[in-house]
Amino acid sequence: MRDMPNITAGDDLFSRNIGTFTQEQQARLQKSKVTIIGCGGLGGYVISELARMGTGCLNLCDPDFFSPSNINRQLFATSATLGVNKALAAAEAVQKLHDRTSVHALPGRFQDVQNTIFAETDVVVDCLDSINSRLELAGLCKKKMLPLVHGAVYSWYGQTGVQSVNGNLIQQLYASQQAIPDKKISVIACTVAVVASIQAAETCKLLLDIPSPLRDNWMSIDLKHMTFDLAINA
Amino acid sequence: MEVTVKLFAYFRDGRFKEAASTLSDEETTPRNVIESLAIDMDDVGVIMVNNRHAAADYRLHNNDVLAIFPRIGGG
Repeated sequence: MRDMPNITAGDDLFSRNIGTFTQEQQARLQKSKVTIIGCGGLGGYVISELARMGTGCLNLCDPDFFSPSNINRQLFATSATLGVNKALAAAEAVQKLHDRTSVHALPGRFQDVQNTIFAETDVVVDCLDSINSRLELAGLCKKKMLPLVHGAVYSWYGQTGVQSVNGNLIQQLYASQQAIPDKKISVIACTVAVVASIQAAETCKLLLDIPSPLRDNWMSIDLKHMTFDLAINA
Repeated sequence: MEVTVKLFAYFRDGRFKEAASTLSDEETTPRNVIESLAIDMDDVGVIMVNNRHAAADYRLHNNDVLAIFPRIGGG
């Protein structure tokens, strides 16, 4: 195996971000704290992209363990991480990328996470896979006055949006559906990566105060018929 | 009564993306439209009428635009 080059001393780790971000914005990202709830499909790509963009602190929360059926779409699910907690595996992967992101693995349910984590969070990202948990997380974020970046996927299709501090987006999306069991569980990697990338972009824009049409709005994504529809214009 | 019906994601399969629909006097709600398209109500996530979230039993009006999205919750 080749010796690992020492990238920790390199100054140009995020040099290719500059031009898209100003030096000041890059420095703001470096001081930003994001909590990602769910480190599987959506979470894996969101975590990787936020780390590569230079987010300073990532809190990664997931009580689940990688299994073989995760490998088709979950970035940190590999033959080497089967049976490993998803938050711990994701944290290890981020640490291998570079040392500019301080990463905290929370290998448990978000409902049991200490208040201090949310008190030191700028944005929460919803990468969950259950509607009841999504509603619970949205309620928690509202209570804690935190913006929430939502994403959900099925087959070729997905949806994503941003719930502001006083917003009600997740309630509008799911309020009437709590009691219905979810039987539609087929998910493919390309859909997950597209939706997660939009979540990462929206997170970044929230952190940098860049306006977005997805704020308190949502978008329906259809990779089969290749349409992206903002709900308000649907 | 004429309404424009827009379908999203897998609701489009074997149906359409957008179509004009003529409703009878007895069929005036999104639920009526959904049932006439053989879509399972349990699969419906969001209903919007003229860009606003609406309930399944909202009373539609002439020239309304009805958008029907499936429930998507996976991660």
